[in-house]
Amino acid sequence: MDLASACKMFSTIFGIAYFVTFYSSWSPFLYYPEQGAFHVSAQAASAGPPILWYGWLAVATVVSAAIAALIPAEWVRRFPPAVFWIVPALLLLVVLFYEKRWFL
Amino acid sequence: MTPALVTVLLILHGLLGVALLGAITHQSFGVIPRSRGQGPRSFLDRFAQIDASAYTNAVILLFIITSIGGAILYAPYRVDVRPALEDRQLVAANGIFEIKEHLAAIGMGLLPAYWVFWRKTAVPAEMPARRYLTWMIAFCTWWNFIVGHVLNNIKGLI
Repeated sequence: MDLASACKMFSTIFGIAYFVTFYSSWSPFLYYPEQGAFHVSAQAASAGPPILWYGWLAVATVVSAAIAALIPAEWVRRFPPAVFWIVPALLLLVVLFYEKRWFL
Repeated sequence: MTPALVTVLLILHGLLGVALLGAITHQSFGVIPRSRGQGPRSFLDRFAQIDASAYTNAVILLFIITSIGGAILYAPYRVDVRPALEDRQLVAANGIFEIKEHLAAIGMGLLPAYWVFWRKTAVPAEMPARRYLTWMIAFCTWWNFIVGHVLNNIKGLI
């Protein structure tokens, strides 16, 4: 795997991995700002509101880096360059469409 | 985190956002395909006639630093601002922030491919990828900048 191919794959996978984690509301860890502490499981309501976003970022980074490292560079070179912007563009549209729920 | 530190970080975050906005906007104009006419050049023509590749490293660095600042400020936001928005039923304000956090994440994820497509002279087949990745990062930046200011203003009013 060469660096350029890995970077392209990372960017293409990252948004998808991020969307899957936030859509499922799953995070490997939660941060409780009122406590200033990370936990791997949900705490009682008295602990205050948790932040899942850090966990979503971590999952998306690890998953996309692993996939980018595993896919052979020859495969990536066979993709037309359009794949590397069309997939993230579609993902952006999906996220915006999903989040329209706040405005209905 | 003390309120004074939050204020300092918020101002720094905003200033870095301004720098990022300038760099990515200039680069975004620089990748608009245009025909070279014979007539007088407009302001926009001159604005766009730059070496757009010169902004790439600055955009990457500023996006990462600004996002780290945003990630740090997210904790006090979650404790102080979001509950205030929820108390006042400002659902749309919460929604635009949710989108802001998604765009910050997705924008950071785009940076490696963006870097690859800008690091060498693009062959014609790669120009659209370079252009649209730049515009997507510009969209994320503009959304996050405007939403950050709107929420800051709302919090100042309530």
